[in-house]
Amino acid sequence: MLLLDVICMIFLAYFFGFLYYGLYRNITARVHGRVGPSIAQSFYDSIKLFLKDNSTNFGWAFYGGIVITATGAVTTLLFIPYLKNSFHLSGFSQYGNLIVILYLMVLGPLGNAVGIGSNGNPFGVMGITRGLTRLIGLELPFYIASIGIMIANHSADISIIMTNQSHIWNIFSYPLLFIGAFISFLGFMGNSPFDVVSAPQEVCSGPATEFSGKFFGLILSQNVIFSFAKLLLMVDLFLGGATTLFELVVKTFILFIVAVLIGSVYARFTTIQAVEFLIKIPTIIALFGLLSISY
Amino acid sequence: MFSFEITPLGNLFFGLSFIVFSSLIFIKRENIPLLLLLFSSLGVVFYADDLVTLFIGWEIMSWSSYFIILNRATLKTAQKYIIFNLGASFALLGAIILIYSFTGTFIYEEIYFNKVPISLRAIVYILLFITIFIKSGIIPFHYWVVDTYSESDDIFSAILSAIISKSGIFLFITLFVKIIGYRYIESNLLNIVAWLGIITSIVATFKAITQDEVKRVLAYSSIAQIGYIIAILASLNDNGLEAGLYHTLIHTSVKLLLFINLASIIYVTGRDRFSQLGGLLYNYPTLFILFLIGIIGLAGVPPLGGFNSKFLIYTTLLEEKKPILLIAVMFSSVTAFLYCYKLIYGIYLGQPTDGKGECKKLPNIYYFSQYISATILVILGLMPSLGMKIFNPILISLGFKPNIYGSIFELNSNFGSFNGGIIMTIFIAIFLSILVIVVFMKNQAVKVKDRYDISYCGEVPNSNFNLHYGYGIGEELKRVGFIKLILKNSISSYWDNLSYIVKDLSIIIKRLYSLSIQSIAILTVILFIILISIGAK
Repeated sequence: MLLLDVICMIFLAYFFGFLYYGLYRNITARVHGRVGPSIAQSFYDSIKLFLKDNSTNFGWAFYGGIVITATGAVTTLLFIPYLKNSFHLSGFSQYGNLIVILYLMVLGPLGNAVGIGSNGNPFGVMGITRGLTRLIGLELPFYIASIGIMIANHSADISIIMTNQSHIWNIFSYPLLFIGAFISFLGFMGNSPFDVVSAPQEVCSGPATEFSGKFFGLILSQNVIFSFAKLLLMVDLFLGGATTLFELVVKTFILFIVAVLIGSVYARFTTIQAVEFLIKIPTIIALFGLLSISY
Repeated sequence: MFSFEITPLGNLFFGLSFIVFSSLIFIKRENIPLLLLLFSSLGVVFYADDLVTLFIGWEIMSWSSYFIILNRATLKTAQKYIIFNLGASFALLGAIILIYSFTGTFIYEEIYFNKVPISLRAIVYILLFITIFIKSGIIPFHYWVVDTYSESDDIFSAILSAIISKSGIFLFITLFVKIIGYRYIESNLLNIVAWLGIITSIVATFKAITQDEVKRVLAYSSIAQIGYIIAILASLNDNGLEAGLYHTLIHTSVKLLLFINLASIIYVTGRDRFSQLGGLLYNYPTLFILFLIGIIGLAGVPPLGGFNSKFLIYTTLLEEKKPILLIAVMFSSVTAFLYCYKLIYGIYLGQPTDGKGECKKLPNIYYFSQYISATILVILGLMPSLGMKIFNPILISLGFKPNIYGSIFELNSNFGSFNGGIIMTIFIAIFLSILVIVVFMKNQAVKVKDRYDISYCGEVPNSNFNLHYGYGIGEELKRVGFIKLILKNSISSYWDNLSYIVKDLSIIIKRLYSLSIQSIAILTVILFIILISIGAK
């Protein structure tokens, strides 16, 4: 039963992840005045990559690094409950809590960093360094918001945090915390203006430089699963969780569409600008939110 | 006069020193008598039952380390070490004398600290904190740490970081919890101590990122980690003590592993800078895996044991309602990922900087201590509450309430719990399933020709290209406003200036002793006249 539940969770994340990814490409194209690819294209891409004839392998550390990346994403997903007060689709969330999830989220990028480091391409490592530098700024508002939520609920358990939002969602109780966390969330999703790490416009720079065939397919799949996990976490923490799958899809979709629309109109920050912006504005907003809870 | 007592706290610290020394003493063929003296002095410190015995052990520890450091390091570094540690000893002696003069006893159990007048208590606290801060390298007393760690013998650096730095932590717990009694201490003073610990860890973390020498990164990292321990111990309650002890255990294992790993790398390559290392992964795969385990432990990421102590530190601070302190801890811990990556990338990943990279064989004895530490980290990751089996007797003996845990796989706190066993099992299960799926996919993974077979902006790189990015990591941080402020300023200029002033002063004083025979004769005559004129009255 648990195994079935786990498989359902992974499949749902995979499906909605690629669906949203397709929508992201489509919506961004419309904002830019283009037609854009069809939504089915992203599913097709994912399957196509796994069916390529061959892919470049840089040795066991490269192989292992990529598998750890995917493992990190899936493990994180399994510790975030999908639904409020439900036995189904909750995975192993009862054995973890918010602090565990915040740290599990680092495991995947760590594996990725090892995989990319081992292929010996300096441009890939440049992307990783940008990512880690940006993380200094990115985590700060998100952690402040998480600390605020944990203090307000006197628990780090996500199911308790969800249950406590039955009457009023955290987005309305603690709007400042939400704003701080949301700006970080834009960066976690790899959206503009914080997308310098993946640098999607430059062909020859960024973490994905040396990935091909099934490795690129795996990185792409784990990326959409991880994105869905982050959407799920934001819904659970701030939007009151969800009682049905339909409610969950609606809430994640709204959050996702806001992020995409903001991302498609903003220009990109450099790494330094991103860190300086993140440790000033969202951090201060979130700090005010936190102080209003503590005192 | 000299009395010893076997306590659970002493057992923990002496056990850790036993692990460190027993695994290292066979690697190092020189200074064995001094190392044994150091080991026994640690025993004296950890098992002492009166302040005089503690002080004697403390002195032997400082001096025996000094002679070992003097073997390799420059005289200046060794002098730095001994001057600071003598300062620590004098401060400790002053505090002991003050305590004795009011309580009339040296024996731990007989000291009633409330006999010390309130006006003098602050002096005792400050003297004791100076001792602890110097030994643990808390700002502004960290000046001696980095040079000493980086210039000492590679194996001795591991001993310094893994266990000698913990003697400050031991002193903190013994003096403030056991002897003085934490209830007497002003909470404002403890807040200042906690903030000093955190500021230390943030500053040291940023300094670590920009270093080029590998051992200096770990030295700064040690300062930062001990900063956490001091900060969390300053809350002085059962949870804080537990978290501090847990982090002590984790930090000892991690630093033992990482320093010995670096010692192995320096032994086989003869190089110790990021600008000279790189690409050693396929030459020394076992060392790489061990180093990766150490790095995951240092970063505090599940499923390994490093996460447990981080979790306890965070939940303790959450419970104490110290959100700003908690944010500072989390910030420092996120920033640490950058130097963690710099360490692993700069040494093992990327491209070799010297073209080929010869493979010298590493003696098996180097692996021994690393296997022990890695096993500790993995087992604690699987069974987090195993640590509680060690810490609960300590908490009970110090009069705190023990942590109650249901299963050994679960770590509890008032803010929730997590199951390390489940996390580890899921991680391994998912890793294996994804690996099996990827390996048996129809798509074939083709091995690259050589290490230069990379996509490099349309060019074909060769051995003349600088493809290693290792020592560049962290350079861009220097352009971020507040980080630039931290990196540019250093307390060392203050200590340097102080040393110049003392040197000048000593030259003036020295003049008095090295006068010529004529001037001594004149001075004698003047003195004679003065004495006669006084006598004539």
